[in-house]
Amino acid sequence: MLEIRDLHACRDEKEILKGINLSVKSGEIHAIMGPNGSGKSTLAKVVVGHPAYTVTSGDILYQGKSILEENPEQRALDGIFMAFQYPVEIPGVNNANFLRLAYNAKRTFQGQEELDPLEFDDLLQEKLKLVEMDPSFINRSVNEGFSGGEKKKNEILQMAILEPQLSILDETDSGLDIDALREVANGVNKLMQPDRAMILVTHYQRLLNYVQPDFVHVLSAGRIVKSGGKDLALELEDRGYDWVIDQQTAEV
Amino acid sequence: MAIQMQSKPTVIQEEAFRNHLSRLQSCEQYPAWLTSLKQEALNRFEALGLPSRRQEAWRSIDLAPILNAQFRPFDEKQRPHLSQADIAPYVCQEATNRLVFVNGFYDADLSTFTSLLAGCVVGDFQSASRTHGDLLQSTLSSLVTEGDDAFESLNTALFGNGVFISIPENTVIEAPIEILFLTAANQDVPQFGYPRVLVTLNPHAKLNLITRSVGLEPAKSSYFNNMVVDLNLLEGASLQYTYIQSEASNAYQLAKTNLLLHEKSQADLTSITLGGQLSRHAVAVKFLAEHGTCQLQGLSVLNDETQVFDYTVMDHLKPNCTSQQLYKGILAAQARSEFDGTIIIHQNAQQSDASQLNRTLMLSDDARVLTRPQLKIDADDVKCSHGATVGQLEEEQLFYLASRGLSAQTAQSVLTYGFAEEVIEKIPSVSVQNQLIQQVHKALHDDYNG
Ligand SMILES: Nc1ncnc2c1ncn2[C@@H]1O[C@H](COP(=O)(O)OP(=O)(O)O)[C@@H](O)[C@H]1O
Ligand SMILES: [Mg+2]
Repeated sequence: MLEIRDLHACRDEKEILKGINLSVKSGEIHAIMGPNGSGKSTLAKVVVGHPAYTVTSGDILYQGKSILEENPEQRALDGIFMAFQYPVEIPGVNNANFLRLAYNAKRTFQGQEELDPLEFDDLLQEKLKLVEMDPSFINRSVNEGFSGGEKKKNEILQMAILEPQLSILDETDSGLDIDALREVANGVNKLMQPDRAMILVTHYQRLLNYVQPDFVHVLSAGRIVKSGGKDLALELEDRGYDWVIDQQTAEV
Repeated sequence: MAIQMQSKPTVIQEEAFRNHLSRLQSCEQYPAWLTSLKQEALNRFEALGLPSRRQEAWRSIDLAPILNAQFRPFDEKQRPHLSQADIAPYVCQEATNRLVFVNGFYDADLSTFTSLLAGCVVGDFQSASRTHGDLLQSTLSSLVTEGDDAFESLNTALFGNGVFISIPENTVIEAPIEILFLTAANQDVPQFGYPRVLVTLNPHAKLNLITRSVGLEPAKSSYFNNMVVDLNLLEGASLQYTYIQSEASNAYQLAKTNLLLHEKSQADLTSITLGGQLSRHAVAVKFLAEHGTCQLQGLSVLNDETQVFDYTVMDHLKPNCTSQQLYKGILAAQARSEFDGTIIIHQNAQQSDASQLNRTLMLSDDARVLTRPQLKIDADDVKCSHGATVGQLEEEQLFYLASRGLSAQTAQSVLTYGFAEEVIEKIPSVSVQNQLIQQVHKALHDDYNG
């Protein structure tokens, strides 16, 4: 589904990704871990086409085709979704209207009729239950005044509505209390299907107790320095990142 | 009657002006007191002279296009006959009382009256002068020598008809009262109109009022509207007032809203400017007694080469009053806006709390905005703040929307409307809010409707 080849990317002339290789197939869940500042958010944003980053070499293939020339909305319509680590607040824009616009943009793209506000509300209520989110949040401005955890839930709500093929969740677990974490994880599990794939960017093992990854990768200084199965996450939890990074440095 | 003008401003083309005034004065429905009152207003206007750019309040407005046009009064015979369907886009659905004027002439067929409580006076000047002549006379007389605004005096001298509202003590009018001033410039010559609204809220009365001046497109010629609204809130009265200007794109509008606040009265004013090629809305608020509050918010949406001037004076004459101002502008193309807001706190007006904020969203590099906050504070125990921001749409917000599959154009529309929403949501009518959403998009020439 997703094939990242020797990806180099920079922001403001500073190289942040220094040769990433990653292959994600349908039905797989990948976890990306790594110390702060290693480039995890950058990788996620480059995949969804954030304009502040420039890909200097390498390629990103989605469903077999390079998407580097595609703008962010095309990538979204193609089925790529990112849950932001820091979702932006948008005062004055009603959350329900925004969700409906996004949903209808996708329906139009797929050649389906748009839903009117009433029809959409039925769908919205169902999705709110799926992510166990308080319905009062849909009548507020997008993310405005939401707590950290509420913002993260709103991201998962969007994911539930848009039903993307490929979801990249950037530290969706941080800032959640244990109940909210379980609710979010339940939602994520329900949204995972054999024809979809997920990349979970996380610092902690605790999300991975609920959502079982097939592969775990460690990102350090813009490179994937180690990959393994879900046991690697446990080992990282135990021993930290330094040993992986040291090992890598020693190999180089 | 001879009228000597100090200068010979063509806005009031002597001949047209004289004919207009004498026609008004010979009109049978008009009582003698009104004739002399108009003469007084005219004298006042002559004494003041036309505003010049040397006057602070007018310094950056170029009035030449107005002063040089050969405006004529609207002709009643040429008034188009409009149907309810024609005015539907401008009708507040929650309003149970609506007064409609077409080219300055009251249209009883388009107007609606239902369920007015006993003692309420709501009517056009002609009917009010028959039923409540004394009240109308005393209200108008108290205003005529007030102020130093020449165009306000000109309005008093030249208005033909208008609206008189007086709400009795302790009376609460729940549903909005709407006043529509429609202009159909269906003649080849430029024309002028002088709409006037007088509102008195007696002690503890409550009212939700909407005025809209609307230009029907296409306008065959430019026209000039000089509108004045006088709002007088007696003790404990409470008013929500929405002013909406959506004149034709070749219209000129100079409007003045005067608000007098007596003890513990509350006013919530929203000024929306969407049309016209050059318009100015001056809002003058006077706190005449203690514990008054005034919220004043404005939104202007400008495109092409339109110019909008918002001019406010918040005059804290007495202690313990609170005023808040928020003016927002959205500027596209070569539009130009100016916000000139003065807060005056007099020496004895201790414990005044006054804030003012002007925020502008620039959608084009060629648009221009000028903000001129002025604080004149003579008391020492007060809270006073002002600020201004000018910015563009935020990259991160645009990206967030794009990452959810919204096109760049939709994302821009959504965010622009979001900026306007903070003001529009204050309007106490959902139907008007919805109409304004459409009008904001129309003003920005964008066909998105979400
Ligand atoms: N706006 C920015 N401008 C320049 N450098 C940035 C910016 N944001 C992040 N970086 C840098 O990019 C690197 C990777 O950051 P990021 O991708 O956010 O890491 P992570 O998500 O793994 O914590 C860091 O060195 C960080 O300082
Ligand atoms: Mg990060």
